[in-house]
Amino acid sequence: MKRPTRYLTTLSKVYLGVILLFLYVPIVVMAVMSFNASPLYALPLELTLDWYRALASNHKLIDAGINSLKLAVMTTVIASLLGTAAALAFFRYEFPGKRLLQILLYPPIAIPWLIIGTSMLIFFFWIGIGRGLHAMLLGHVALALPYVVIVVSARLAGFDRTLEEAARSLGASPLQVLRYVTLPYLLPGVVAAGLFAFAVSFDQFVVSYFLAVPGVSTLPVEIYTAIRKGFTPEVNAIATLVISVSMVLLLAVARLYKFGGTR
Amino acid sequence: MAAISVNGVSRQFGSFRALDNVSIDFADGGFYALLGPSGSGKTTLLRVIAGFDFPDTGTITIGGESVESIPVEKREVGLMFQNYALFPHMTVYDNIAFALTVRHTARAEIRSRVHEVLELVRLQGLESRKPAELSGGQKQRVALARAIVFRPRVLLLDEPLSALDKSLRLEMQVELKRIQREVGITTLLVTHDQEEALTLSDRIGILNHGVLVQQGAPLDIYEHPATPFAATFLGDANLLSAQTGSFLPGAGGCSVRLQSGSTIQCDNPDVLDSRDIVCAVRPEKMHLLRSDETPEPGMNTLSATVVRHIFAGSSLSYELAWHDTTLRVFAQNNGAPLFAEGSPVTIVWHPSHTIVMNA
Ligand SMILES: Nc1ncnc2c1ncn2[C@@H]1O[C@H](COP(=O)(O)OP(=O)(O)O)[C@@H](O)[C@H]1O
Ligand SMILES: [Mg+2]
Repeated sequence: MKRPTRYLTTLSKVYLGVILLFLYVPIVVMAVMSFNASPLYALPLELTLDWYRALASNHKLIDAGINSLKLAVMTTVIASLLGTAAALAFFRYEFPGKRLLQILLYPPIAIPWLIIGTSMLIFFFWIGIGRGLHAMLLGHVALALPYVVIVVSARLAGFDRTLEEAARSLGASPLQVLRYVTLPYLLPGVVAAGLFAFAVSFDQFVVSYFLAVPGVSTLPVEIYTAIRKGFTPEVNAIATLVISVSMVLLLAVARLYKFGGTR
Repeated sequence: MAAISVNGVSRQFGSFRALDNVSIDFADGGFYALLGPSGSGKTTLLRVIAGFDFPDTGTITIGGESVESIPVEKREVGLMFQNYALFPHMTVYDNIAFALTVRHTARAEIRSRVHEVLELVRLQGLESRKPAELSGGQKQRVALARAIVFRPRVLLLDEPLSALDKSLRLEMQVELKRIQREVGITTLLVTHDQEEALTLSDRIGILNHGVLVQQGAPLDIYEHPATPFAATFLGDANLLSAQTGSFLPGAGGCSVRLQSGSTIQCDNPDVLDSRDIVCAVRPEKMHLLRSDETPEPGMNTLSATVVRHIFAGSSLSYELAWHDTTLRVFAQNNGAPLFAEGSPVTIVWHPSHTIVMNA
């Protein structure tokens, strides 16, 4: 009996190893190469900070990075607020068309971004919004909203409504109920949803590419453009920075709110 | 503290009548039990009084004031929920202080009031625990403390003890009664447990299918149930159906001819409609004689056969076959010989213990 089990265990270990290999080795290689003097990935490694220095004077990449950050933060705030409000409305009230609205949350997640991007571009031009950061913000919020509603709704599904009733019977106004009872319960869900929203916006290439105007773009779009023009290890440098910062951020949040569990 | 008055309240969910023209008064400072089987509308009545739900017709006043347009948070009612509904992210202290916090009470006052109720419910020292770190009985006490700390006008309890095991339940019943006496708050307890209703309350209202069947002091309802439902739901009762039109009022009492043919005596009841009559006798009011013994004159008798006896230590319960009904008789275990299964016996009871009701 032992042999097949061990055989299986070895197999699954190899499987896991291969997955981790393909997932993380490219990232590690990129991070290492951002410190390598040779732009052609030549070995042996020759440590240098040249690419980071070059990055510091690459205003295009830096501006794009700042744009990306701004967009992601605004998207996170707006989508979290609207999405949480929508999830609360779905949870609390019965209204005509509720089912339809809930079903309509899912297609945007499944529809390819390329198609969404194209249709947004056409629509925004048609109604006069045009392109630019404001258009990207609209697009990103629209993309992030379904994720927020779904994640917050999942958290709400486990909410005991008698808690709200208890709070009201104790004299809390509807706003106080929200502030002291409902939101504290929802917070881990809202934070998780916010992370999703941030990721959807910060990662967004296709929709941003369609809605960007020349000169004002986001990091993914700028990196893509840079690669097409001719690859420089500055891209490695900024990617390494972005990954480090987001890793730290994610770990901090995960530590603060044990995902899935109650606080 | 205040009296509650419910006047002709009906509540309909779709085509289902959860409350049907219920009128009942709860006097200031009293301890009332609303008793009824599951689905009889008890919770609905409580929610209507608290303001979570609204009557389709009828009015409710608290302290003489109509509460129709007063939202829950302004009604000043303390509520205790079946599942406790403690705020999981707050400590015991913050849970109890909640009602005062949302009223912007001064911090020092909050502290003294919280400590006062903590002492009342005997929970000192647990202030900084979270609800998840409490036992069922402790959660119960926190819920009670939280519901009374802001000195509400009335206290509403929805089956508050049903989640506890039996010994803890008995202990909490005693505590609840003591605390209610000390605070003197008008208390309305919803329960489907007749024993709980009998031991705790000064008055009981019995609900069935949304209709208030009867209300009164526990002893009154027990001795003089108004309907067969009240007779069987509050305590045990042997129901004896009478022949239509066989109810004969007389000078010193009256007689009823049962469907089995026997005639029994009873005190003059205040039943107006004498056509459809059901009699009931409590099992502890009956006693058994050997069939060859002669009962005292003037007693009601029925001849029956022992089906089996159930021994419960201090008492015995007999199941008897009488025509095609099964009757129950309780006896004290006072050393008298048991009646064997299959033996013929005479059931004897005093006419004043015959309860006469309209079917
Ligand atoms: N919001 C509601 N919608 C529909 N039916 C309800 C609602 N609330 C209660 N009912 C029905 O009313 C009846 C009485 O319920 P309830 O007052 O909770 O009974 P109890 O507390 O005595 O067990 C039940 O049959 C229940 O299904
Ligand atoms: Mg109920």
